[in-house]
Amino acid sequence: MDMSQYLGIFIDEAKEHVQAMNDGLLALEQDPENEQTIEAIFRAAHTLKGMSATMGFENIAELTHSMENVFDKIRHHEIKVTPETMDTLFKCLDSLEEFLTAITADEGGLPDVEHLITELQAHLEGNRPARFEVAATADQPQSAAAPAEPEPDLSLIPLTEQELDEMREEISKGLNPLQIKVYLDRNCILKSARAYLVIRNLEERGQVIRVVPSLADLEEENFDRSFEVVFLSYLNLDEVGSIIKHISEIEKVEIIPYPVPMESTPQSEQVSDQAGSSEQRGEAEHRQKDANASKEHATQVLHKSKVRQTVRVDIEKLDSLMNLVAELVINRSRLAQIGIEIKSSVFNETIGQLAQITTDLQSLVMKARMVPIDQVFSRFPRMVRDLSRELGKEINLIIDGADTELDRSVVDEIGDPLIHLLRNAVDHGIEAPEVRERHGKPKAGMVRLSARHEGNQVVVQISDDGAGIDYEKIKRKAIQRGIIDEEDASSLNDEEIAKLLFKSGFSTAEKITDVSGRGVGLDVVASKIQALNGSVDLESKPGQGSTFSIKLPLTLAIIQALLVKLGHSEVYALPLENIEEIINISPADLKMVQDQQYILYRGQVIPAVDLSKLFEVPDCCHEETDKRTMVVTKTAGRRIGLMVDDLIGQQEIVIKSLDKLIKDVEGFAGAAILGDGTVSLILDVLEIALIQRRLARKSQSEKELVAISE
Amino acid sequence: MTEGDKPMQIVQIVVFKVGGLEYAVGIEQVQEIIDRAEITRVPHAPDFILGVFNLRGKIVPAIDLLRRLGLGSTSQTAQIIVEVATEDHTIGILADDVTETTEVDVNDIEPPSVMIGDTSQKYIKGIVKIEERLMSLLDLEALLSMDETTAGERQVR
Repeated sequence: MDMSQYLGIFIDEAKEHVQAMNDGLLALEQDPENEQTIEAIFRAAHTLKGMSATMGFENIAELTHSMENVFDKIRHHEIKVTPETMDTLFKCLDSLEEFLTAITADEGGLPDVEHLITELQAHLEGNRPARFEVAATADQPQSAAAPAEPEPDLSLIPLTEQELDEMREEISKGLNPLQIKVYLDRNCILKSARAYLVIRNLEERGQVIRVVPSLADLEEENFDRSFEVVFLSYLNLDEVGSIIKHISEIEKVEIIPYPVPMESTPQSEQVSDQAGSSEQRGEAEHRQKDANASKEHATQVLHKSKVRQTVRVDIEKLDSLMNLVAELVINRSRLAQIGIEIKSSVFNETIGQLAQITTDLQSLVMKARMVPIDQVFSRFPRMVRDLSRELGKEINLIIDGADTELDRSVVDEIGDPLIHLLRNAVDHGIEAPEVRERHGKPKAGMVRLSARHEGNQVVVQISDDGAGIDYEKIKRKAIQRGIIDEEDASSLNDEEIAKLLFKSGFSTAEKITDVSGRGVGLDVVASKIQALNGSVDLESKPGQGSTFSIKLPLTLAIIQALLVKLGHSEVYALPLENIEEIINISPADLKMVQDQQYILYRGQVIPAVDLSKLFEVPDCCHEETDKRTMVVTKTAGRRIGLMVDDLIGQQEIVIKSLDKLIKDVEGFAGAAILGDGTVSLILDVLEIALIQRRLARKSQSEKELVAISE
Repeated sequence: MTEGDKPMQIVQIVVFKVGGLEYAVGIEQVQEIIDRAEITRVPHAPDFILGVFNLRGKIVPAIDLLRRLGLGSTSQTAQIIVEVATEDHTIGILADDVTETTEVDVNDIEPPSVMIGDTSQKYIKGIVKIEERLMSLLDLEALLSMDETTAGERQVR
């Protein structure tokens, strides 16, 4: 059978499992006794083993099998988790990742796993502690992951107290508690789909309390061919049975009443008591003591109400879908414009509906493309752990806002720059422990990685409480490298010096370590982020640490904008997210300070820019004495007032990028096509603020020059 | 001028008129020829870029060829846009008229003479001679390379 068509799916899923193991191991290192963590790792290893064997990757299967053995022993407290075991397990994960990369790249030369397997074996045999006390987990059955046996008897699934409470309440309303075991046909191909059908059918007729194995496992086909459900319904045994049997590819259904103890008492005891007295059906034998095999996953508490069906979609398809929706939005605006002209109520009504559908479609496509940034963040704890061990530093990595969502294409690209900045923080930022102690800081350094939404942007910050940057040193280095000359250097402020770090050919680490300082500098980071239409800034306080702030667009395509007019005919779009307020001003409100106009806005002095003048609009029309409309904008925490000649209205626009020929022209974030088919430029408020400042500085220095020459 | 020992090698060119002179581009670079669309000015753009226009959902810069070549300006009169594409760019060249699409022998294309003038010369691949007519075959890559032009021009004055 040709497996190549499944390869992509295999690799994606395998990566997820490796990541799950990685996360699990990191958690286990902190809390070696956590049963659920071990379970999760074990399951990931088990699934990966099965998958890779199916795909014919024997090496992966062997390696994961050995790993699984180790996890199994850990799970049964037969071996202890030592740092050495951890290191070996992490090494195994690295090998697995190498495998997957090699498979993706279609290279030969797969890494050798023999030594790792031997190493794992050594851990299996050594390190056998006396059995752990298992008091805390006595009522959580543990056993080998034998597949559920198709025996004709049912053993009760132990439920949590919470679930039992829930059931008691429903039983008092007259519902019947049932335990159902469903055997799928041996030849059933889509096992997970069948299981899903069964559960959905049940959910329509009652309440599903618990599914064993878990819904997630059912979904991933991590089960043999039977599964069990604890179910509450007004229906009786036979009715439920016939409902399930109506679904095709079901071989057999076994149903027993689930005995629910009416009082909250220690659970396992109660269950077996009740079980003894409720043998209503011959086939129902309750052997609580053996209730193990199928209860592999019973420790997992589930609150998901239904199986989530997902499909993996090629990102390119989503891209073209997005483009089509964008075209639709443009055409909708055009139709709306026509609607205004022809004044037909039927037409306009239809346009209204079309508009609604387009909006829904658009937000749906946008959502489909959004993924949590956790996809990138999740690999960092491991990386920082390894780095800190390597460098002999103690580092606490704090991650905030990993659930922040942004466009898939942005998430895909942001990984490398973040890795670079994190390495930078760990290597250059955080001092060695003894240095930290000397400066009266806690021995362990802190690196914080955070993500949050800010308007239509996502802000990712990497901060450390390390040494901060040495402005003098950077200046010296920049002079040494010929990036600036002595004269320039003396006139630079801290902000400008920090910007030097992003110029090419810069590395300030005094000794070259393996971690950074390989000549790839922050310039690469900066250009990568700019390519994503983002920006990166550095703020640093000597002795207190540095913060890198990366701003990224949330989505690439569609925004709300205010259309404004400059002169008689030029229309520009101003992103709504940048707008704080629209005010009317009279000339007297404008103050001139050093050739730059300012205005007092809510007690704050903000620069005022006359856009028509700045953009040299040809038919500029207003008199000095005219009242003006000012759009107060806010970006990057800075306010700036933009004077415009007229307001047209709010509109949804599709951001189109500008040709490279004009990409370097400052002040514009892109262009949009308006309802009448003409093009409108989208103002980039941040850049306008920068132009404005530069102009002010320039005119200032020109004045000084004049003064000197006079 | 054909040199007898060289084999014929035919290329197709599109010829258009700008400011009374004829220019040509290889047909493989021409996307389409459209009526002049409304052009939106881009402030602070290099002066030969008249602005951008909407070509079925794409934002395309419009170029004043004469200004690029240092020969004046054509923006007022031109009624046609020749859309051309290179690897990096898609642009529209404003033209007064499209004369013809024709075939020429590569051997009939002469290297640009030094006489033609300094500014325009570097944007021209060669001179095509068809009967008594002379036309410049444009080097679009050079025409659209921004290296030396923008550094000074795009700075806000």
